[in-house]
Amino acid sequence: MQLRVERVSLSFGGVRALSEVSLEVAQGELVSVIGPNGAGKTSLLNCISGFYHPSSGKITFEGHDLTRASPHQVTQYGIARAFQNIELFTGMSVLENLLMARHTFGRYNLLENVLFYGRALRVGVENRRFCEEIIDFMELEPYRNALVGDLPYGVRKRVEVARALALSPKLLLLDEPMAGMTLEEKEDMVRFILDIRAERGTTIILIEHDLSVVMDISERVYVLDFGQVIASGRPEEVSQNPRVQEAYVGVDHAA
Amino acid sequence: MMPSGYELKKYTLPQVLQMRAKATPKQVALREKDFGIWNEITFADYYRHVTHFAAGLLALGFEKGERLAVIADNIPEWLYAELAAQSLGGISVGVYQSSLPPEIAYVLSYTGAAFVVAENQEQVDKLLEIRSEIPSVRKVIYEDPKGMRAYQDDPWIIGFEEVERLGEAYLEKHPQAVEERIAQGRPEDVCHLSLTSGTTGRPKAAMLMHRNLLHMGVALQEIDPLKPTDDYLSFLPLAWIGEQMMSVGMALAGGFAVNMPESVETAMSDLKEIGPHVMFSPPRVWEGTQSQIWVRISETYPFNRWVYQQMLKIG
Repeated sequence: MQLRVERVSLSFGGVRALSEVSLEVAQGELVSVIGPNGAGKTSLLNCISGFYHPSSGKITFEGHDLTRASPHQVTQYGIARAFQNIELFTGMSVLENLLMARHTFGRYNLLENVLFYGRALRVGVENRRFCEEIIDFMELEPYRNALVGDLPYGVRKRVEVARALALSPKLLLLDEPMAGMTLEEKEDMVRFILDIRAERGTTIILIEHDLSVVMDISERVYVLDFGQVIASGRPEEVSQNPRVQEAYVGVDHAA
Repeated sequence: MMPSGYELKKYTLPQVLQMRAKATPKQVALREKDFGIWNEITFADYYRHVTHFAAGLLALGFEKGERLAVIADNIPEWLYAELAAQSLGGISVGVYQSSLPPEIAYVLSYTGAAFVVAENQEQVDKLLEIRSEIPSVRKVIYEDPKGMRAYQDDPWIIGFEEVERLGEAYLEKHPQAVEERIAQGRPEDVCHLSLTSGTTGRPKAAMLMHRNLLHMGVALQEIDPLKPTDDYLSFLPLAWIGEQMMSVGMALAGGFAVNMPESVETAMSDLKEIGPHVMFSPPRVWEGTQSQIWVRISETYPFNRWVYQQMLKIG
């Protein structure tokens, strides 16, 4: 197992956002996490990516302990994340946003960087090439030099995923990459997600509300409700589970 | 000595390319924007790609007179495939990229295409959808490998680079295979099928000879003489006869270097970078460009507007 989340709990004051959540993801898998609003899906991603630290439990990724790791350490272990609310630099171009992500791979000293020679130049060229490949992959060519703040929402979502890819992650965390998109944009995004996995072998954890998408593309699904995993397994198993149906459509009080 | 003017009509398109590759191997024939950079393709490169791809087609069993259809945006591989098929005495067929699967099925069975070059997964998927309706198609060759990993086990589908590699290996065993066939070509051979717009029914294919395309290229330059160092931006579909006239006929007749934009969406910003000497398109495209300029001018500062109006008088 590449990622292991073991009995993780997270509390904010009296609110238990996650209680004893366990989850395992193998290298190259596409796993979805679903659940009603406030079920704890984003909190779980926040724990994995180091924004929150669980009150109890353990998270490991390829042998590294993430339980107390900071976000930048998590990034260096090879985990990248695309945020639900789009956290790009709106005053910078698409290309600059991607290059910024490559900053973490800079292995040069201050002098080299100021003069832009030696390793800084070489790494700079490599980074540009790498980002251009991602622009090609995510079909962002028309927006390369456009300011992110000027772009339509659907495109910004794509840039958000592209920037996560610029970190060349082994594990990609996607927090509702399709929320608020048109049907066509959703179809494109699904194709990108499948291509990321097929071409780059990236493990993907997807949070998504569109159940038809989740059931179509995930290998396994975890269902969270009130901070607990209420079901997990292959999509067809999960969708048959009475507890899942209850969480989604409510209890039939007449019965 | 490179023939010029109407002398060119004594040769086929691949023969003209071959002569240019020998006379001016380092001259830039094509440019393609890729990964944000304009890449130059010289006549020597152009000819090498054509011969390798042609030899690859031979290795896959392409025969004289067979049709090779291309469904792709404006990419150099479009021209490589076209000239390669023509080198073998074959006929290229242009299919519009936006065509729906039933339309593609009709065009391919109507022209009896044996090979199809499809740009990407999107186009290959359309072909897979109509596979049972196009029994004449023996191979589908894709250009962009993105997303094609899952198709690897299907012997019907092969990559463009793979075909070029097959060709290179074939040429090692039969070094003269392609050149002999190029030499056999005659200017009155049919080399390309261009579809009519089909406004009153299904599209029909117009049969074009090498001589036709070269004649257009030479005749146009009698009115508007151009230099091989001039630049042209190729952004309208190559399935359209107008784009064939420019990017094939006129370019090989010594008109200009053909520049291919990065993607359909970037054509207009790529246009600014290339600053072409020649463009060719139907009125509607010009109308669109004009209204874009007008909208921007009406929204800009008075000073900019004033400069625009003064410059317009001089222009």
